[in-house]
Amino acid sequence: MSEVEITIDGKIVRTVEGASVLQAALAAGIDIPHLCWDPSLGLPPTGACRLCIVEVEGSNSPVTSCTQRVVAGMVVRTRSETLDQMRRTIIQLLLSDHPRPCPASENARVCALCAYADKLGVGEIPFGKHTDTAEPEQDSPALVYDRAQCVLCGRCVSVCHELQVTGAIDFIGRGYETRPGLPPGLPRTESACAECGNCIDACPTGALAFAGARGAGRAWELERTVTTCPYCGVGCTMVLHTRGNRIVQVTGEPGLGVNRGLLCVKGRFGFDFVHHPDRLREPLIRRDGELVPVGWEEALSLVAERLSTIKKTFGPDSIGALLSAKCTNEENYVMQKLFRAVIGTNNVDHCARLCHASTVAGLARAFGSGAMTNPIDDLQVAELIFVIGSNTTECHPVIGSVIKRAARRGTKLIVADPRAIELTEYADLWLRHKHGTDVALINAMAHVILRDGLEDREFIEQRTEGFDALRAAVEPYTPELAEKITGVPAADITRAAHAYAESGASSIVYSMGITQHTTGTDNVLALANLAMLTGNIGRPGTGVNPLRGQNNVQGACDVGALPDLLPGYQKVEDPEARATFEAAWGVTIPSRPGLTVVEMVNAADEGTLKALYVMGENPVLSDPDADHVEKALKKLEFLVVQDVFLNETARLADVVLPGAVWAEKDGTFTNTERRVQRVRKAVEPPGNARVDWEILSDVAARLGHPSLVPESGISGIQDEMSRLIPQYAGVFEAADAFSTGKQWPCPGKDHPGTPILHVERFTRGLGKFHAVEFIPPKELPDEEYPFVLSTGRILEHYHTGTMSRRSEVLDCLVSVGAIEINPEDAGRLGIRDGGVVKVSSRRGAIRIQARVTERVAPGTLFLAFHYWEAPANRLTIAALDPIAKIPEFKVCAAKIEPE
Amino acid sequence: MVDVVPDLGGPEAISDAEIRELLDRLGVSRGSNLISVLQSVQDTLGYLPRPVLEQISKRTGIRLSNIYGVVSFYSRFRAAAPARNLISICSSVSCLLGESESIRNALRDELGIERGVTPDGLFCVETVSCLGACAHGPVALINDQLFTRLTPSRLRLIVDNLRAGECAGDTSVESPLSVSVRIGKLAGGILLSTDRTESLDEYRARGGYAALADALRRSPTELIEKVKQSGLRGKGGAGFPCGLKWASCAGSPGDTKYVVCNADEGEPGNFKDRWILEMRPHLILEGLALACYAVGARLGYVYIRGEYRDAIEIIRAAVREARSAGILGSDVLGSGRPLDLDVFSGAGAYVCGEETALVESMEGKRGTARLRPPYPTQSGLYGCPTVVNNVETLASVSLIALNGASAYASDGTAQSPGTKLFSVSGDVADPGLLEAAYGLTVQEVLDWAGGGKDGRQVKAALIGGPAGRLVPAQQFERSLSYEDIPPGAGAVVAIGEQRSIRKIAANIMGFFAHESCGFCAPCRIGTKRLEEMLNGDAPFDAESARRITQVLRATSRCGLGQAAANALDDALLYFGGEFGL
Repeated sequence: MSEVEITIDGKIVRTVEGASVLQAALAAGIDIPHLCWDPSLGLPPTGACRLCIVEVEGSNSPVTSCTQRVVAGMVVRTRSETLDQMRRTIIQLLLSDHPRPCPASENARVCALCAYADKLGVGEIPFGKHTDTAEPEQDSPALVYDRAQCVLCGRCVSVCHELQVTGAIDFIGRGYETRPGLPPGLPRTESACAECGNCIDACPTGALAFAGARGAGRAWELERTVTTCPYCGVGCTMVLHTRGNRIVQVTGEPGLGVNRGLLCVKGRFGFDFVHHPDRLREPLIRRDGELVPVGWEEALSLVAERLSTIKKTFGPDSIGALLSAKCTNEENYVMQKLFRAVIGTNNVDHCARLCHASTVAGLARAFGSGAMTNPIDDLQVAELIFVIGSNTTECHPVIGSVIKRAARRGTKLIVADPRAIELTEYADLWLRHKHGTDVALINAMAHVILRDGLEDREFIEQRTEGFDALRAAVEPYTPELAEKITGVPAADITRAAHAYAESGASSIVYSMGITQHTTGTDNVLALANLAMLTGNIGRPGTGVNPLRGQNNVQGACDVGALPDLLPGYQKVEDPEARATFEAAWGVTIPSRPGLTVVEMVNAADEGTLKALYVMGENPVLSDPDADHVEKALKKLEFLVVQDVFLNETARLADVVLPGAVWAEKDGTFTNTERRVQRVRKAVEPPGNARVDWEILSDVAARLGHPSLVPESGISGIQDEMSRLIPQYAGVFEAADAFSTGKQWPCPGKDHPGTPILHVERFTRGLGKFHAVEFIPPKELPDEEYPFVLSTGRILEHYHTGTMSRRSEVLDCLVSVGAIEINPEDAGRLGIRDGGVVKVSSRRGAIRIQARVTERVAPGTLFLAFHYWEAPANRLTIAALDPIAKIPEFKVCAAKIEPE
Repeated sequence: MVDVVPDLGGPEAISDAEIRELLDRLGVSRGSNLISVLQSVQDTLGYLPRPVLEQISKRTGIRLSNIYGVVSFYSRFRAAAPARNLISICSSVSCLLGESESIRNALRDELGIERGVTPDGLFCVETVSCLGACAHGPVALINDQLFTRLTPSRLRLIVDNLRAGECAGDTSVESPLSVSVRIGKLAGGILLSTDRTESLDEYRARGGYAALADALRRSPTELIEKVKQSGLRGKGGAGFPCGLKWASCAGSPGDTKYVVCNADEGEPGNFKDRWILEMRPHLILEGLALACYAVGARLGYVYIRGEYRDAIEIIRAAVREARSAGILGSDVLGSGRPLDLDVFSGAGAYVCGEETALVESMEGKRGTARLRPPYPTQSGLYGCPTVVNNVETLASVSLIALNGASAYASDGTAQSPGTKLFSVSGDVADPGLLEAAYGLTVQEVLDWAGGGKDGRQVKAALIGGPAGRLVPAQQFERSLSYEDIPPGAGAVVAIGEQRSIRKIAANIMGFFAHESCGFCAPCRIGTKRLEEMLNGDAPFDAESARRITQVLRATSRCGLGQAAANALDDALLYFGGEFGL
């Protein structure tokens, strides 16, 4: 873009062609009042407020600087007596409807209109003051709209349509009666609104506000802490606004982070679990069958003593640990070190086993590195996005919006999903395949690509191996055969294959619809095949992109919370790798890989695992076949649970240690695109609760290892990690650095990080094709259990609900679970919407409300696993992928009957 | 949306199957024009029930919020089941001068409400900005039938009839077209030259479509040059040179271009477009066809305001006639060129007379003016180069094509060649339509109309309509031309000596407050605050009023707001005494 020089208020200002006069002025430090245009949103100006008027030499009347593009040599004046007077009049007009004193100041908001009024010396309003006396409207647990404060700038409408791409609101009415809002009379819960609250951040006057922050006082009296969201793997940058030791509200930071300031309903409103009365405040130990509060000394001594005894009696491998994708990298690193170096076992695993173990296994085999290959931003440059097994708008909402934006801009979107998820509305092509038939579908796409000569021969030749095996393997998978298996019309499979192969840059996005199968690893390998076959990897806009479920599941894997891999994906079985860690830690590390999550549960049941230390996990609800899990954990000699709530697993524990939540500690999370981002402490943990790595450090000390954690704490742990984890060598930045992190691999402090993997060569050298065959799910419907039951998440809740169900807003939005059933089935079985049903499988039964909806196909059911009172995992099957040991959460046979 | 609180929560009587059947019949799918769909649904059901809108949303992919944004923007859409009888009283300045207040008072006495729905649900009363029958005020639309020259007693009779469940009765209704037509001595051809709707044969017998046939044998550039030479200026108000507009569109890159005839005549005091539409439909169609040929458009539209039901039917019929005569279609008059014309019915919003708002509206959106540049001739309807021409402009094009540019230019003045229609109403003895060359004086127009009504003096004339200028009697010798007083769309509303200028100003500001789209702050709030000051709801303060008129004129986002204060500024300047100045 060429440079343009203009004069503003006598000052020469250089800017780029195409910029607006307002942009040029703001960049040059000249403030022109403006309300309706927000530079951080990146949206075109609308020229609604008219405050940014300027005089341009040669023009008779003032022009709005937001809509006026710069022209070389243009002479602009932003202040003059006339301009000032007109600006004051416009402000007076706006204020003639505006309550004074402005309620924004009491609601932790800043009103830009009032600020301009003060700045420009607008005093009394000389014309009729017609303040809308109506009370602010609250039609949701989170959002309040005060019409009196609204200046109709339209930013909320723009954000809702253009950035969030929900489009729940529009201008309603005409003229003076106009307001932004939902369709009149439509309850918010029935509207399209996703309650993301991004309209709140976009509102310049505080007309839209977070209900919970009303009366919270002046915005500038609150502390702001920029940190990373604790919910899903997107890793949104967020700001915690605190007063004293309480979080008052959460906002995005305009333009900042992978989320560019956007948040979802969970991130923005789901923070109050932090202050929930259920928070654990004291350590608890079981006495006479009851958990009773004790001091730290007593609790920690008991833990150390019991672990020592069990280790002595049954050996180190009788002890296991579940680490936590909710905790920081530093904490997970310390904990795996505690077990590997102090206890002497590789029995460390965490919930990645339940979500993306097949990704780690599959992509490591194919590419050498089990992570998202391309950054989130790349979805904006992809020419085609192929989403398979990811309900992105609910499970990774901010990425969901990126995909919707891309689709609206014309990026081709292919969605493969058995359910009519929101993204299907934006898709050019929706492949509604049957559950668990992914390999057949993907192989058939590969078949078409090869049949029609669409493969990238040069890429295959130079960058890959194993092509012949692949060619032979996909040969039988004609679209016609695949149609029989998947239910997707052969013509659609062909179209999808052509579109994917023929676009200049195709990106695959997937999530647990791919991974949580007994064929999870095969599914991932099949996708990797597809990408390599067409050369859609190692370039911007391409790649194989698993969306990670938990805020730090990527990081937990990276730092060694896996039984077969040391930090940095170095194989436990590799003597050289072990030697590095042994030298650093001054211990011997066992060479045998440890047990996985489900294997630990089985070992407990069989009596070979005697003690389990669980940090920030809730296997009783999260693992398949819940009754079995509970039974097994009860058989343990010693169960320690370190958590922030007395969750279903903690209730079985011998010792419960109160940990801290993300807002209470410093450290880092690694998001789904491998970006290592800062977590910053904003409030103190409640009562005697403590930061998790400190607890672990104390346990180690009592086990005779006082220096497990370096004295310098977090920075010391980070130093150690950067020495031992090659990918992390340069990722850590100074704690006060205002940055949103770097993407690993990052071999040095000066390295900018690596947004795209496998650019010139794959991590493993050559990419490897794997011949994979379609294998049906382990348990298919039969006469007794005629439905396919699939499980997953919903937008408003998260995992086992320990956090989200303790958030007032989220709990208000969705307080009870529901199982989705197709109207056809519901009609046949006499099930009505909202009626209670009994759902059972070979493992157990639950009672839950029915939601009759066409989202699910006939013969299928969908159930979220957030609800302790209706635990989905009482029904699921513990059938495992043979390689990744991930359970098949996505398919089991079930029956449903009205109650 | 009607000024009635919609009861959207109630049970809807329409079944899913009925909705499906209706939307199937209307062929609603992705790409359907939202406003046309909503109009068809409302024509069938009487209003727009939410379940239907939800299905329209699903079928078209248009978000429900956007649909309600549109429904709530346009006056003619109803989100709730209407009362059995709908009475829409014209509140235009011309009807005000026709004593529309007496009608409103009578109605209030009779029904017990000023507006809204009567408790028995039988009547809904609303005011509308202008019904385009300004020479026959006061007027009202009652159950979509136009009643002119209403009196309180006639109105009471009608209400009684309706209450008894009968039809309104009272057939002594004068057509708004029966206006006195007077013509000056005009060389370039005469528009007002019929006393009934002209058929295709009649039009052809007078040489109609010969000019089109001739133009098709020549290059489009030749036609544009001809129009340029005629000096024809737009007759919808702004007076932009027509030839330049065409040339700009013709020169814009793009295969698809459009010409839209702006028949959204909504400026109170103007009724000349209605007359041409209903009396000389083919004159417009030929002008539109010529414009399409000139700029390279294969499709032209006539955008007619929804209140002009008869005009819509007449133009539709004329299009059908022209199609079957081979004047439109794949082979226009044997030239081998394709051209078709279609009618788009507005949904009730004055601001859609603004060309970019009109284009937004045609795309099925809220009628909010676009930012310029780009101009419609560069990027208009669906992003394609588009010419928007007023009805009278296109009628003149037909005459110019037939009689020649120099004949047209021989009338009028240097800056304002040719002729203009003037809609004369208000306090004159004989209101009506006048066709004359530009350059005549205000006094001459008033004289044509028989001078002041009931022998009273005329103290001011509103030229162009509410968006125009208020000219005091001492300036009646000034000429109506672009050299002097721009005539705007051509309304001349005479204001008798007995009238309160402040009341007129309040009416005008009320019109703008009602018709402001609400998008930009000065217009949305400024018109409202001024209306309140003028009608007594708030204290009048001349200094504040001037400040507001200043920002309206200088900073409003489109022409509506920029012109909203014209008449008030003149009133304060020339009739300050009436404001206590």
